[in-house]
Amino acid sequence: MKRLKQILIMSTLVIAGVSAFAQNKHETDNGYRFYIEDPMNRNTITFKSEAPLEDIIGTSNQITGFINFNPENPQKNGFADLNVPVSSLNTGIPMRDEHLHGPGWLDAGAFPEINLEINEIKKAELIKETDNSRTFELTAVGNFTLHGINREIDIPARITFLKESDMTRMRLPGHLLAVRADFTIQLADYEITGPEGMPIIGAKVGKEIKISVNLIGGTVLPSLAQEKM
Amino acid sequence: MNRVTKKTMLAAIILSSVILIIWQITGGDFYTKYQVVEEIEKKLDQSDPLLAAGFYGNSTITETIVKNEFRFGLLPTASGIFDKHTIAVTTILTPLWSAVIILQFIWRKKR
Repeated sequence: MKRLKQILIMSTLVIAGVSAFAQNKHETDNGYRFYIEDPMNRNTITFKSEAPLEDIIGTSNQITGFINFNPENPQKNGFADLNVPVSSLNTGIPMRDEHLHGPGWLDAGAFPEINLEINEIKKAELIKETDNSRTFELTAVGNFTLHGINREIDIPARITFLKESDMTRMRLPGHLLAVRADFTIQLADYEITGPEGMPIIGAKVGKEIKISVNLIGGTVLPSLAQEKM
Repeated sequence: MNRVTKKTMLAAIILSSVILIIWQITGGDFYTKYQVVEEIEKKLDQSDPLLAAGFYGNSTITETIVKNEFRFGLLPTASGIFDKHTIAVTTILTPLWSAVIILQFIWRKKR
């Protein structure tokens, strides 16, 4: 009887420990990890080029990665690693996309992914707080890799943390982090010059490209949530 | 100008006008497209928790959409001769008016 009691107590402790671990597995030591993986491909990155002969808008909805963020102390250990396949960039015109992905421009064959890595959060200002959310304006500092070239970059962003609720579960499982960010890059900084002998940059493609990122991540991987169902 | 010549010119002018009207109605784009990538103003849903959280702020929010829509353009964007992107204002009007001018020349010479 005594042995049975010991077994029952040990089993209860083990089960409680496993449950606690399972509930908190999306928490990092300094906040949460938000997975950028939307089964409905609603996360977008958009680029805009403005030039005298032509304005071009392109987009991709295939951003993946993760963001570590602490809604209680956003400047502490914020980190993000986001990737976009070059071949997913779409301007609406197949021939133009072919050129864009080709060796004369972004060269998807040699440099298949665009990467944004954030390793510091600066100047985080809490602009709105409710019972279930916190919204910040901040500057994210990191490295942007395009065409095989890595450059340091500062990106102003607006970020909202939403606690899990019935409303948030309609979008993604877990707590949510919504991010809106806009920044610009110079094509010359990434050694993107266009085809040799053709002065396209400046005439048909802007020297400066505006980039907008709109994404929402969740603390539970949607693919795992689907498996459980 | 004889009757046939006049009728040919008139038909070419009418067809050109129709082509240009179609070009304007479908957006007046530079290039022919069957898929459009554009930024539109995002319609905010009052039940969206991000709205209450202040995520959208007070500025106009845009979103980028990709939609299947035909836009007749001035110039083609074809990858090959049989690509549907070959159809454009210039690829229709250039052969049309070239034919009209050649026919005019031939008829004048016959007289």
